[in-house]
Amino acid sequence: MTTPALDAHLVARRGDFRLDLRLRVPRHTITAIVGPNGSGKTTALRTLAGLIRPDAGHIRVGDRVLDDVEAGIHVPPARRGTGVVFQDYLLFPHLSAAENVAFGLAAQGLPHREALERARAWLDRIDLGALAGVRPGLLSGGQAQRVALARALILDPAVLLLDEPMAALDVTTRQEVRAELGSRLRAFGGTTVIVTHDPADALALADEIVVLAEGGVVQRGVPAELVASPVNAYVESLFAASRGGIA
Amino acid sequence: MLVVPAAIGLAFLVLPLVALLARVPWGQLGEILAAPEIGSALGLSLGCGLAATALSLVLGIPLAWVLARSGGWHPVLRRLLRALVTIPLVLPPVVGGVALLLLLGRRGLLGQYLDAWFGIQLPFTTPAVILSETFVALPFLVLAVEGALRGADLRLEDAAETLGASRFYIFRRVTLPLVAPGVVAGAVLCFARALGEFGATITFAGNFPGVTRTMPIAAYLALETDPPAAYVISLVLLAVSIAVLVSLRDRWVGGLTG
Repeated sequence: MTTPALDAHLVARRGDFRLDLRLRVPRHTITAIVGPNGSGKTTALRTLAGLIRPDAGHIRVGDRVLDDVEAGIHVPPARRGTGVVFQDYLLFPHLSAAENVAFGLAAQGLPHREALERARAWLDRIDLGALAGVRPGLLSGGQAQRVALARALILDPAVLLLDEPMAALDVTTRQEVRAELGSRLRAFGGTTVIVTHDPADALALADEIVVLAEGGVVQRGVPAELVASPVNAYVESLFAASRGGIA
Repeated sequence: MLVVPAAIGLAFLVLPLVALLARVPWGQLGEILAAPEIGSALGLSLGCGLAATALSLVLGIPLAWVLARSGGWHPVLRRLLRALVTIPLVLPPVVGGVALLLLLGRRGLLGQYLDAWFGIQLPFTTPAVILSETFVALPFLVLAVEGALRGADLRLEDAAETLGASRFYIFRRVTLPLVAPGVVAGAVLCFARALGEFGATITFAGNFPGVTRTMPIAAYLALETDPPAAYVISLVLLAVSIAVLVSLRDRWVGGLTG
């Protein structure tokens, strides 16, 4: 067992709602947090990204402390080295695909020209070179997802977070895009957390699955384990469709 | 039955302009516009209008940003702030002029110190024209930009932040470009309002040829001494208004879908 690259205890309160989630994601692995709306999974992702300050607990990546409420440590999102692929991808609509990918490099001080060159080279490598000058509004869902992924990965993040990466896609292309995303995440090989409401995403992409409901962990384990021995009816219903090996 | 009052209403709005166009001495247009008094009023109006617009942009965009982000504030505070920004829209401009005089006049609340410490006297100067125009025109810019900020997807700022961008970089490269159409619309409205400013200007800045006599003031005065000149100045101001309307047609006349 490798040491966890991401080690977190997230506690966040929103009125009556309380999120309490322990997360240990080993290096080079993908963990999926699965849960219905209101389970706290988006709060968990935004806390990991630094966009929400936890009310208690800690977030460590390797030896680096990103949040430690007791010690009063909170590293702002801009300096966490955490890449995020947001729901709906949130590409900048006024910038071309290449400028979107170059954004982080330029924001961190690389000369604009150089940032753009590297972004174009990156887009070439993922077969989107022809669309480098195109605005996000003209990209398909799958293309937008790849640009969003490139925008995060070009900064070489220690941890990659994906929020509902499939939700913006129509059903017909979902399977294909999911398979491709899987192979890109394997190629990235970094520590990855995916948040999704769709158990199919989790089964297809993750090494470990955490089922979240009402802010707490219901069950966690490798995909086969959750399919084979769900702890309760809810988990069973989530993965029912996958029994018999159909992911 | 509603057609009759509607038609009268429309005629009431349009006929005065028709009357103006009918009386404009078209043949002497160039000659009148070239007259030195008119030329200086025109130049002063354009210069002060642009300066007031620039000042409104510098002050108004940050103000709009604060207003748009005031969602987390106490509702009373938020409404109060909005009301304060809106006051010049409903306040008679003359009152604005009197108020500016009481603040920045030689014995005004701040004006006495400006005079005593720096020897600066604002009333009846060209800067006073710019300040008067800014006072009445600033809310147009603030409200237009605030509307654009509210309509923009602010999650994009989160995305930019996770990419390592500083607050200022995000404002410059993400927020401002996103609301650019709103800024342009606000600036055009602001300029149009500044150009037509009369009441606050004549009260706070007075009526000195070449220094504070802007086009609306020149038109008012010319009506007694040289009516054709008044008509020509009015025509120029009307043309500017129509140009503003045309430039904003998608945004204001075409409704929200434009």
